[in-house]
Amino acid sequence: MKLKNLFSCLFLLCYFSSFSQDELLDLINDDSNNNESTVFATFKGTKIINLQSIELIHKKELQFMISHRFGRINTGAYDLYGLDYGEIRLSLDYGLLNWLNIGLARSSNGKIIDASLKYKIFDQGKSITSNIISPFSIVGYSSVFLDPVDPYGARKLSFNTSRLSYVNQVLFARKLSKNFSLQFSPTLFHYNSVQDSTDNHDVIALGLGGRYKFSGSTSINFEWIPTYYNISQNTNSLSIGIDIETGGHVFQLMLTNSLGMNEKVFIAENTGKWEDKDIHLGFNITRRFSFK
Amino acid sequence: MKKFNFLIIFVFVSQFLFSQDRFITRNGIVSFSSEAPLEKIEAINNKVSCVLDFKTGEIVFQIYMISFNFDKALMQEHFNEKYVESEIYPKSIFKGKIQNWESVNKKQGEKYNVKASGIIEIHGIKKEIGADGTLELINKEVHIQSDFFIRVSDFNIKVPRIVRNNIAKEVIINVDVTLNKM
Repeated sequence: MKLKNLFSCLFLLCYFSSFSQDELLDLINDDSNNNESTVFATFKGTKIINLQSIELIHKKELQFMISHRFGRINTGAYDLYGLDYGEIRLSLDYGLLNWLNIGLARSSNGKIIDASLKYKIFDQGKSITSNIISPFSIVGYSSVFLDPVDPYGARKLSFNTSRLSYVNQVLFARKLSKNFSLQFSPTLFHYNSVQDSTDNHDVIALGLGGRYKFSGSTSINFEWIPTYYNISQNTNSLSIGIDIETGGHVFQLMLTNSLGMNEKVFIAENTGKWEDKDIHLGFNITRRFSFK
Repeated sequence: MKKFNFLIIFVFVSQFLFSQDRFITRNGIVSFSSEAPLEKIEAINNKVSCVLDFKTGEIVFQIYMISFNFDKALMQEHFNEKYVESEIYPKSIFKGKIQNWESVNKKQGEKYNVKASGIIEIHGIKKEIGADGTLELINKEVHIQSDFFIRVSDFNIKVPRIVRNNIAKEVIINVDVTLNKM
């Protein structure tokens, strides 16, 4: 009987001690609706190096990007290993909506003007609007390129629809860990007109890119863009770079075998070879302005 | 023995009664503001959970860091990615007790100055903290307000040198919750 009482007492004691702050915490601790939240910051910038990343700028943000590629490293000391020459691309992107960006850019190389549309289809993780849990972030990117250099008139620009070309990409990316992200970007490139009747109008490319973040603000990036149905002497773009992010700026430094900074040149018309040291030092600088 | 069984029943019943003395919310408001020479950063979270045991004065807060809303979306991204690292430390918790709870005269419609002390956990770091505030009972609701400072460096939140003038060393935290009977 006494033993029974003792047990009862112990039971009561345990019971009382469970009245604690932890118990209070349990009352509000339901993780169910926060388990699979949307993944953010898969990449630092809207470009991995040359390739578009799945990152979009937010609504009412304007991004100004200056891209620069120096000349080829293998030009030697006479041209200071390429630093005497450079090509530039200036671009403006605007966030119409959180999932829809528009952009306009001009490259000095070929004087190409391009207008783009970038739209998010899915975020990795739980979608805000539906119950679908996507293993990848999926983004569409479409751009039209105008090549205005008149092949027959010196220093004349001509605007002709036959000089248009297009790129369509679907970007799949997964943030595998806090620091490591991978992206796969199937690409279809189309020329309205080609120089030689035996040339293909379409080029298919499978862009592969990734980043490894080694501190909060810096990451190392790589990308490789194998192409198919391309003109035979063209090469595949291969680049390695570093991202440094400081508040509203992202600085990207890279070594690449692509002189061009728009998809028309670095995917469909790339000629640099790493084995011949046709390597360009370059950088992208972005500044984001918020109009909220 | 009969007496003892009665006691057990009494304890269960009283526990039931105690639980009636708990006040809870899942949409309290916690905001913070950082005033640095170059920039003022403010964010608000209106999905704060809080529960108060009216019998003992014990109080617990839980905040999902990802639910802080900033004016600038890019700031919000950097806050979660680089500073509080929401993927690793998704929530902040305060577990504490309102001091001298017995002496707080729980009258309707009157505002009391109270002091809560306990342990706050942000960015995986636990720290003892005390905060002054007010408590008010209106229409069977408990309204709690408090302002206090926390030091960013106490919670192992690293601020890169380049943005040192954009982020304050001490951040003002604002708490405003209205609790309803459970």
